[in-house]
Amino acid sequence: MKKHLLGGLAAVLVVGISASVAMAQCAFEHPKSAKKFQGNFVQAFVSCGNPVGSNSPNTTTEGSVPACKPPETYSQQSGNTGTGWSWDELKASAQVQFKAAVAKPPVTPADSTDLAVKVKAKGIVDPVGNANGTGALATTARATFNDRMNGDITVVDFASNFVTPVVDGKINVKTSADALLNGISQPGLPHCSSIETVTVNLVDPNGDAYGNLGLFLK
Amino acid sequence: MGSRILLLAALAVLIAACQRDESRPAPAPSAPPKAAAALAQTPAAVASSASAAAAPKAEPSNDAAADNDDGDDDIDKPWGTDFEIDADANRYFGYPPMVVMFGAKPLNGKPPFTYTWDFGDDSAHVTGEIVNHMYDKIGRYTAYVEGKDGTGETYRVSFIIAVVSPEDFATRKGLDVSTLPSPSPVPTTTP
Repeated sequence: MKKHLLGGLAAVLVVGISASVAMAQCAFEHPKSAKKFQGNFVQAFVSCGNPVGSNSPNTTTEGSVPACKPPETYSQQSGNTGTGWSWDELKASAQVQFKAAVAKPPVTPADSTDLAVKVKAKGIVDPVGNANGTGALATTARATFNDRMNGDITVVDFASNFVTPVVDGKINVKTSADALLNGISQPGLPHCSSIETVTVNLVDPNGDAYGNLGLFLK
Repeated sequence: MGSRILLLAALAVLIAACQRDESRPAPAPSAPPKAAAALAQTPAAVASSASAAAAPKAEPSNDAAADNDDGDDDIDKPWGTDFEIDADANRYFGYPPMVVMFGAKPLNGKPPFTYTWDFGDDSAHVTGEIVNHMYDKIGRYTAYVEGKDGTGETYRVSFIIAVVSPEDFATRKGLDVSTLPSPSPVPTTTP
């Protein structure tokens, strides 16, 4: 009986030590939990006074902060107002969600994880009416993770696009980070991965951003 | 000993009572007759009623007002009253032959509901609430399901699915390719 107990204890210790060794390389700073990121889209405007790709300030706010007038969309900047997409101000709404995916059988490798990606929108319009066509969700992400070969690393910011079919002004698309990363020759995400969202844009068929993460205050 | 226990119990009751009093908001002044009438009206009418100021509890909070404004803040719920479906796939990434189980359900609308699936690989459309499809070639596919309700309203959900070689799959997942089952087993879970 004693032997059985000792054997069980030894097994528990071995499992415990193995688990701590497996997690030991995940030494970079991270929160306990951040399983879901969700955000709303607003109209994307050309920035003002930034070093790259922005307009030059030509006025100020009432508080004397430099500003650009009038506001300019990317379609306007690129001269694509005749075909560019924007938002129906009476009914438009759009969101994106990145969520830690639950591994599902039959293939559930122990050393990998995944993100479920979801985009939902309504009220996307072109100058004629509800938009129809193929846009994209364009993201730039910064990944820090426990690389299978090299341990903890931060990868150079990487851009990823995936198609977002728009039907009657609506989007509802689902995919996973693995499916997206494969398209840009990036490895899958191992456990202990921290993903910073640098930019997340909705892009119309002309390549002009019409949606950017943000809030609209009435 | 017994009296000590009784004393401690009495203290605990007293402390609990004090805490309840501290957390309880100050009692609202008794509402005049007009406010009482306003409370019986719709929330909007109450909010716009000047006399409702005398009964602050009847007013919606700013958060509640924002939520009631459009109801489009939750990506997992229907937005408004237009017909919507939800749908999902049980996997988006794998190697051939890769069987994907798709499922769809209505979020609102009027029955009967039908679901037509296009798997993005030039195969024939199929209908059904839950369907399996096998991708036997490497590629990136945009599949979709179009749901239709009894009034003819439609809603589409699309899926981006990547099918790669077993070698690529193993590399991306940090696995030994020789350990991958082939062909991929049929999924046993619903999306």
